[in-house]
Amino acid sequence: MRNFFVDHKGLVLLIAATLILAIVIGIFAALAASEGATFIEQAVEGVAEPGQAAVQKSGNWFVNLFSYFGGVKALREENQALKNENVELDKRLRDARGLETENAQLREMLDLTKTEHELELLAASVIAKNPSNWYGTFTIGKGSDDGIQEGQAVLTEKKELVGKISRVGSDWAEVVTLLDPECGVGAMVLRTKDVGVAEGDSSLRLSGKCKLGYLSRDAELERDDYVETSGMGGVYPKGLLIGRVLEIKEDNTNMSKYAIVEPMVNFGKLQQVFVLLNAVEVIARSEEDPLMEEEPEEEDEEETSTPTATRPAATATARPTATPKPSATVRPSSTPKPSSVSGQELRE
Amino acid sequence: MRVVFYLFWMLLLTIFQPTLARGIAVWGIAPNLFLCFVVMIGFFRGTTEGAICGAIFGLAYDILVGRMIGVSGLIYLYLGVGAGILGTRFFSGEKQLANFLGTIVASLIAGLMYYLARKAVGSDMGFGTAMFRIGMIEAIYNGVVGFLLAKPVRLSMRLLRIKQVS
Repeated sequence: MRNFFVDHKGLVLLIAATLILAIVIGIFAALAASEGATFIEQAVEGVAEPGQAAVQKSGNWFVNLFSYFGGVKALREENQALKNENVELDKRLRDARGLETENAQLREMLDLTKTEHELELLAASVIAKNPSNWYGTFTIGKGSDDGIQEGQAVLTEKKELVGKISRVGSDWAEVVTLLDPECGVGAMVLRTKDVGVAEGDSSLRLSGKCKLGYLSRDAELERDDYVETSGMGGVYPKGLLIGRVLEIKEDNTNMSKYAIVEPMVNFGKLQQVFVLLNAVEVIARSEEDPLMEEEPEEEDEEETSTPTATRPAATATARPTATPKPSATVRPSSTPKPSSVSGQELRE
Repeated sequence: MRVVFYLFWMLLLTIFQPTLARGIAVWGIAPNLFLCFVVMIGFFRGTTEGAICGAIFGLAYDILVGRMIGVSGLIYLYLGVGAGILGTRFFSGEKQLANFLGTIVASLIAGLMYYLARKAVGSDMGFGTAMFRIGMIEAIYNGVVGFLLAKPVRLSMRLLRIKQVS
């Protein structure tokens, strides 16, 4: 027997090892079936855990670090993209606002050319202001090539008088405004039909006002009365709005009165104008114009003393023609508006 | 090169005076770039060139304005001479303050002369309005603009190799 183990030593070791391993497998298989970790596993994990945790932490830190820098870069790019987008949107908004204003102005101009068939109007842009501080003129970008001649009236899309053409080139023309002393216009107070001459005054020009001179001593005009062209003199058609009376004064000679008038047109902001190419006697106002609104007669006296933010009204059926005194059917009221409200604001 | 220099500035001022200068008007008063330039040339280039520049640029300004043509030409001619005398005899070096003050004084003189010329042809403008409402404000504004304009004028002179005589 002993010889057998000695003679078959290798075979015996093989079987013994197989048996041991089989037992080990059996034991671990049996332990695997039960819950929880074995003491061996726990021991191994206990030794390995701190190292693993440290490696894991450092790994996470590196991952976070890379993702942080990656995130900052992405945020920066996103921020830049948003900034660019903001600039673009802001530009678009500004463009849209400008276009809106221009559109409204051009629409009014179009309406004017459509409704006023008798008027031969030429739209022109203001290209330059007078370089000197001594005169009230500006230059438009159309000239004799477009049919412009000296002396033609210049107005806005709202039928407000701007001035007249004083010099003409082939593709430019100079407009002398109401504010310039060289510009004299036959004018009439809308409510009282008092006639005078609206002219520029060197002292008033700088404050954007003009003068309504040569008024009769009996003139009954009041502050906030509206002044329009009378049609006398032949240069300007009747019915173009000039401005609003601010102050009434006695002339030095006490022979006549004069009034300080605030023009309806804001000459500083003027960008587009119309040149009236043909001779027209009267320019009628549309019925939508607040100046043409009908108003009960009995309110006249009250409204004379009560300033409101509305324009004076006149009936559409009885537009004053060349008559300097009021007729029974014409109903111009004296509803003034507060002096702080400009004509421009009022229209808007 | 001098011709190029003057043509360049003539073009620039003709474009900017009725547009940019009016755009920066304060209380309705715009600076007079032509006058500022003439005074500057008087200071930088002496009496002869100041006078010629004054006459030509003054005339161009008159044509641009469209009224009383020749009056500014005459006034600026003498202002160019005056600036040239001041520049060559009384000041030296950078002369920025002299240029600033010179422009103010020249503007006041120009304002007064222009007022008298207008009065001679029947203008209704009062002396107070002419000098205090227009002349003084314009003079101060011109002084400031002249001060600021000196740098680009000098730079263009350097680029075109035009020397300052004083």
